[in-house]
Amino acid sequence: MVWPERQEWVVPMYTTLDQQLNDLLQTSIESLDISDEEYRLAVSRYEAVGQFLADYWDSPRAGGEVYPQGSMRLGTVTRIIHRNDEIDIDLVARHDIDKKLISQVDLKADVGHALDLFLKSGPEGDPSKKEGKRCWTLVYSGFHVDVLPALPNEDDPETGIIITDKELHAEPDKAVRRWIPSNPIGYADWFHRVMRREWLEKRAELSARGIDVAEVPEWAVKTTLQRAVQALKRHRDLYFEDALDDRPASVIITTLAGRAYGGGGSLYEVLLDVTSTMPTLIERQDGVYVVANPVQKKENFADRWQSHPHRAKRFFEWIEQARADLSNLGSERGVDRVLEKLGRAFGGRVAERAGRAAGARLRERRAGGRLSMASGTGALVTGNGSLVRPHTFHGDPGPGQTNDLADALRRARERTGLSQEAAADALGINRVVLSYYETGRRSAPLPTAAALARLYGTTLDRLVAGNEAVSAEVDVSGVLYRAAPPVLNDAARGGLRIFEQYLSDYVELAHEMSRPLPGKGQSPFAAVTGSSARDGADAARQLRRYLNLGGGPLGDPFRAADEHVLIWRLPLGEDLSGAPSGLFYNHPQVGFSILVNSNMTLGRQVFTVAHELAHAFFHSRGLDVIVSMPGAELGRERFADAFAGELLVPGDELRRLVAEHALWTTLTDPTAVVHLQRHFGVSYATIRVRLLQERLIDRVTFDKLAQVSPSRLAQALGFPVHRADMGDFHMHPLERFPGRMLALVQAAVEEEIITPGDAAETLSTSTHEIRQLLARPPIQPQEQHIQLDLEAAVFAHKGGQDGDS
Amino acid sequence: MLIDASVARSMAVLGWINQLAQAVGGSLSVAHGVLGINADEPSELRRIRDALQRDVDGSPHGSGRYSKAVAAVHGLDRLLSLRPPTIRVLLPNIEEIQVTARLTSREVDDRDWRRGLGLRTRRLDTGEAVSIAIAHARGIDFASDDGQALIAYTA
Repeated sequence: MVWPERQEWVVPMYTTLDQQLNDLLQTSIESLDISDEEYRLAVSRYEAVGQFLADYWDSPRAGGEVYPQGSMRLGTVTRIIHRNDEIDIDLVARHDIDKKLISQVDLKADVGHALDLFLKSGPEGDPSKKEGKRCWTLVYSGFHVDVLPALPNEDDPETGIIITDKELHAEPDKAVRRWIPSNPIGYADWFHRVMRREWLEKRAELSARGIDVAEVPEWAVKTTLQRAVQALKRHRDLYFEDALDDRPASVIITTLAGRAYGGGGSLYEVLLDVTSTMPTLIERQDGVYVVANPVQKKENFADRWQSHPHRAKRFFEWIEQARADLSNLGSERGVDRVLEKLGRAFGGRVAERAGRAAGARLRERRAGGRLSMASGTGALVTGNGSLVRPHTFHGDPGPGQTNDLADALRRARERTGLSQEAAADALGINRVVLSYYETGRRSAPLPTAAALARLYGTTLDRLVAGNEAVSAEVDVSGVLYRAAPPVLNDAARGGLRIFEQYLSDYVELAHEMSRPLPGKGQSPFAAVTGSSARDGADAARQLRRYLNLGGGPLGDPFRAADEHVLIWRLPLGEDLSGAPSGLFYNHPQVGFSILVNSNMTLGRQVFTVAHELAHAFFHSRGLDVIVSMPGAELGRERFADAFAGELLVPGDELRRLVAEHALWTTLTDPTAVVHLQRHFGVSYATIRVRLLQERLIDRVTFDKLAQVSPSRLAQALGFPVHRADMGDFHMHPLERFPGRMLALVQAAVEEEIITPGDAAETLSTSTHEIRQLLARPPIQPQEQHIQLDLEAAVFAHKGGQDGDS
Repeated sequence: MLIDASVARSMAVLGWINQLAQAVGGSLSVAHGVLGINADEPSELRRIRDALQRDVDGSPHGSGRYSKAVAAVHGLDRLLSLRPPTIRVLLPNIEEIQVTARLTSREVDDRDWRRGLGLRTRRLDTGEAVSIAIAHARGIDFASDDGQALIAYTA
């Protein structure tokens, strides 16, 4: 009767396999960083160049500035694999003079001359110089410094520049006019804005760990976006190793990744997301691929794809390969397998470094004896618990390292025969997310794991204990599956499992409340053997008398027989070729139960309820389950249809209304028919059929009345149209349940037998709705039954047909 | 301080979640499942937000009920968008998962154990249970408006 001992603070090393993968990925990409020492050396080198140029240009007429751009400024510097892991540093050398005073050729030559003088001055690192298309390159040992000559852009005075292009030098006239505008500072500002929130959070996390963030240089804090760009650049370098000219420019990758970045998530998730989204962000304008500079829309970073169209094709091939490689990474389990795939995607050396780092961390924790295995997540944690067996090879997951809860969830689902999609749909969660939970890539939130356990007919504690055996006393799903035709689809099977779960909850709650359960239902009526329409109509009149329903509209059909039948409304799928419209089940403990497929129009749901009542009261002697699939032509089904028609629209009442309101001549008018439909609270199709059956209209009129759209006509007449009739089958969660179930839950909470949270879990809803339930009587269906207003029946609309059948 | 879904909801609806965080030292914690780690993850607070949105959709525009529901949705949206350090999502470890399972179990033994802790109700819901399991094991202050949850926490 005591709690487990309080334990030390538990710091997860890996809480999920997803985190484990992410950690390895993160370590791999971090190994692409330059070291602090290299960074400081690079800065000192470019500052020396900058100082020299500033002195060179220092005159009363014009000065200049040298500043970093590109990956150095963006924090995405990546070692270049085809240059033996060297790095590139890009500098802008902006000479502050009017463009009218200098040509592109002269500016380039002037900067080249200045750099020659710099080299003669004997700078540290002993660089050499070579010319590029738009820049000069100083080649140092271990890195290159690209110096880009530029002038201020008078059209973009704050941070804009104009730069030279060697290809234009051959055409001096054009070169004078066609300077290339650029804005690396504005671009870097945009990039930093995109990731600002995460960057601030990372700084805040450092601060929370007691680190003085003022002492942490900006470049030392990397966001997932920066890491993602580094990863993609490295993947690109490997992919295009044999065709360097075809490589997409880093600025294209950075721009698309920045635009695709959603602002959070692990590096792995961001990479998956970004690689999926990037291709969709490339625009096509007049046949030209466009990757616009986000701060200078006229600049197209992909302009060279126009003259080299195969580069565009290769870009799309590459990004698809990157996405596939990342997806494959996620399907692997075990450190060594992940490392192997990391090596293929990002290079062997990168994976080796990640493996060494991961191995070192594991050894460190083992040495401290603090490593245990979270069997609920299958991940390694530090803290109390059973120790992971020692092993010598880093990255060996060991036979004991399994993802218990994830595996149990998967096994339990497979045992029920449900697909991931059906299970996810039944609970209203994303299928991909469910697959993450089942593979251990993400920890399943325990409330979701508990809901899944219930769907699979078991409980969370059994899953945690590794015993996911069925816990329900009555195998409802098994009974229903066997009774249902073999065409029953996945969505229907998911709905039937939820039905089973609710029935089981009802039984348990009744026991808790000491409320007697009726046991198997007994109909007060003799079983019928006839199957004619007349037999069905007679049976409906008998039931009306038995339930004291009078001769008028039924009111709320979902509550009309509440004392005798539990009526549930659950989604069983919209494809009625593989899903029942409804079913009757005589449960051994709760008795008559009807399940209605809520993926149908409201009128059809109403008709289904009435139809299933026929089975409950007139076919239940000897038959515990009757599944109604559309198209069934059994005599029993014909009987039930006739019963439903008479129960919902009594012939006597229909004829009385038509006679009293002198509607004999206006029944050709759809407006009058819509008023009758609304009076009885049934579908337009049902009222048409009833008018034909009662011989109040002929076949020609029956067909003519089918020409209108009843929903549109009803709207035009001012009637509310139920969302299900517009194809929106979302229901208020409490509409799923029979009134008796809601009343039981209400009473159980009020008597403190269950907590509001438990009630919410039982009814698959939130505590907000439980509060509402406690504050008022059980919720009523939203469909309103408008009083008949035949005098106002003016034909107003003739539209097309709709799906109200 | 670790707060349960009900306290988080109430504070969010009032627009006081940041003030509460400041009052307890700048950071609040919630159990995984009460709040998701990823945006696409189901959570109790997300379900409450959806329920409030249904109130908005079902209320006449301009009515008092509508305004109240809109404000509540806004408060929940702000809560759902909060990040560390204002709010942290704590994942349960294996021992905490096992305690959660016992607090929610239907087994007779576990029910007896809960009765021994002083609980009157049949069991706790999973979100409440995992919150208590984490708060208890890690010695974190726990805030809830559920009397049974507080009994379990202090037991």
